[in-house]
Amino acid sequence: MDRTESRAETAEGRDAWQGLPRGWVACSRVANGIAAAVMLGGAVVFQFFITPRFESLDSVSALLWWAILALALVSAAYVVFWSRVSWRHTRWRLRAEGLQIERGVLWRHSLDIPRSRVQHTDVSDGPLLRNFELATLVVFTAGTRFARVELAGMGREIAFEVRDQLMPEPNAAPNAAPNMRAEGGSDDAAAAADEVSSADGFEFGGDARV
Amino acid sequence: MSEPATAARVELTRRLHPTSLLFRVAAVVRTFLLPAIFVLFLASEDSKWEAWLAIGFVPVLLVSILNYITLRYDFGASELVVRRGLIFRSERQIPYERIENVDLTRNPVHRMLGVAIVRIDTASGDEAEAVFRVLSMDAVEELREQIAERAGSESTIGAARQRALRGDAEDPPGLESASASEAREPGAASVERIHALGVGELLRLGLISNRGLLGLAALYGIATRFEATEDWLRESFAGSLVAMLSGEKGFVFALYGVAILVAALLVLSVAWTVVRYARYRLERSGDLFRWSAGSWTHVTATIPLQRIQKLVVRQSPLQRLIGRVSLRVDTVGGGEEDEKAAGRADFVPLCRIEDVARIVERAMPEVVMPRPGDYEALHPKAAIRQVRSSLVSAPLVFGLAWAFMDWKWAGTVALLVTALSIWHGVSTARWGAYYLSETAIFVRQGFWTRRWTILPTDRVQVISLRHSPFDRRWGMATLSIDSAGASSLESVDVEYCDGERARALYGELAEARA
Repeated sequence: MDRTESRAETAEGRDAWQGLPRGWVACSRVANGIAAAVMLGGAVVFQFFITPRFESLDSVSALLWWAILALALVSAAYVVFWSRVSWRHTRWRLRAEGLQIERGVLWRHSLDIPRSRVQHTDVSDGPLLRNFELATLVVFTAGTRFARVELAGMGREIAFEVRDQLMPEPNAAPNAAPNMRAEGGSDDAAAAADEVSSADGFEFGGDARV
Repeated sequence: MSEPATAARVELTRRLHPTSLLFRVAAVVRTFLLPAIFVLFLASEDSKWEAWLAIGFVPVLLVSILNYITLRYDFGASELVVRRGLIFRSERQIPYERIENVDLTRNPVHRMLGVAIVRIDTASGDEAEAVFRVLSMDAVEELREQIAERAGSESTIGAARQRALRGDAEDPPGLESASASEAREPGAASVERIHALGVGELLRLGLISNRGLLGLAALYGIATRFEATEDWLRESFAGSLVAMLSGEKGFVFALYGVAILVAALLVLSVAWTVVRYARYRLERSGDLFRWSAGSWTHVTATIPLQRIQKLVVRQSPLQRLIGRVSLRVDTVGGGEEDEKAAGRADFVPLCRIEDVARIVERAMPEVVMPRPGDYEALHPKAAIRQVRSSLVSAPLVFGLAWAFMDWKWAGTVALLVTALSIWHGVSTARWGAYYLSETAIFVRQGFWTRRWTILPTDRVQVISLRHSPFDRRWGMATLSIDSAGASSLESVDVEYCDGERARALYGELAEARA
């Protein structure tokens, strides 16, 4: 696919609220379906192989089958409906000030990530997301609790576009520049090195940033 | 830690002080001491524990020694170069003008041997950029001279930083030498004393800080090392204790016992405080805070003003009783570890409430403290919500009580839990408040320990607004404000805030931050 063209196409109207692509519903149905299948499979295996070995479980065996059936129905409903509902309740927008995310069906959560506080960004995807041409946008800030904010299920192209737009401009962010540069051992190698050296005479902290 | 300069692999000649080996071994021994004590208790019959201990001990020791041998550093043209490692070599270049401070830690053994632990900090990292443990004082002097000299020529902050770097190089850093060093440099930017602890304050701090248990644990640890094991305790101590308590005047004895224990804990607490905070001093010179304290191990920390993210005023019930508070600052950098947090977590260990405004003004010049009426209360029904959430655990407690006690006691427990929950809920909701000024957000939280958080708006990171289903029914919301370097336990949350007000604040904060 020609990325420049698709960017031009998607670059309009970013500061209005955006939903996630429809593909996300199918994708999360598959993901939730797999999780439910594993859980149910475990329960069925338990019923077939473990329950018969314990006499004390004989009396509740029938009940357990009913429970598994109920569980299956509930998870099916969850897989079919919840994916859609939660998809409908997720939206984001990218404005001059930064990125805003709103999500959650019962527990609703709004997040405001200012552009000037973005440390770096990742676009990641697994086989499932890739299959649906989706990706997860990960935004890192110097904060503590929300040092890492994820938005799963964005369109791949759009995720890359937002990532590029969130990149701090070279000469901007006067507040952020000298004193906000905190990110604790973000790469594993450095973290591991820190751990090893904790009892040593010489320790390396975060990145050298030369 | 890539190596772009493999071509310029210069010979690095400077190394750690030879006594480093000694301290390193001591450090390893200390790490293994506590497990060793446990093992001693658990496996008193089976005496194979030494072998197990040795198995863990030897590789750690070897790694330590290897590290000592391989560490080299030297002064490049514009940066300090530090190299270490045998198999995995790493080389770090720290530009002189980036170096914010050179902090020293010295305990009496260090002083006796004329060495110090040296931490080199830049503004960027979370932790010290480099830690040398240990260097001789001559090497420290050289390090400081070199850094100050080479950084000073280019640096804009220049004079103040040079002074700060050189200023606390005195040995030992006692009261006299500090005043002497001030007198020595009349021309330089003045060092402003922000706070100090007199004898009275030190005593108060000791009495209310509850550090006695730490002292007790230390004593216990020492006792166990000298073979004063549990047998001795059981026979000589517990035996006579039982005899005393079951006697005629058992109650009186018990009373005396408790009194003695409390007194002992207080004495230990004061002793601990004196060791740690004697000669506490907080000074500001230019845009740097200099924090120093400790009679046994003297710790010096430098906190650049622009690195301060958030200021938290705390007041425990005991502090409330004597009209005192303590102040903590969050900085980018300064980790959880005790040594690294020095000067941050206990920025001001104890001060009068009247002093807070002055200290805040010095630490955050742009912030104007609110008047009492400025704070906005939470949602009018916040107390009900808070009481309900406090009561969630009540049935569990009641159930447990019911299971283990007869119903009279269980009932009493349930009543007590309910009363406590209501008290907790109502006072938490009443105390909770917030105020958004032009330059900062102020949040009041807490119940038992009260805390005021002062967070300049230009330090705000991510803002989050949450509505639970209950929140929506009551028209409330929780506003959380994230900042850099914050403690994960003490997040800045405005719970049970009026929903619309929270939504507005969310927007206003986002505006103010930009």
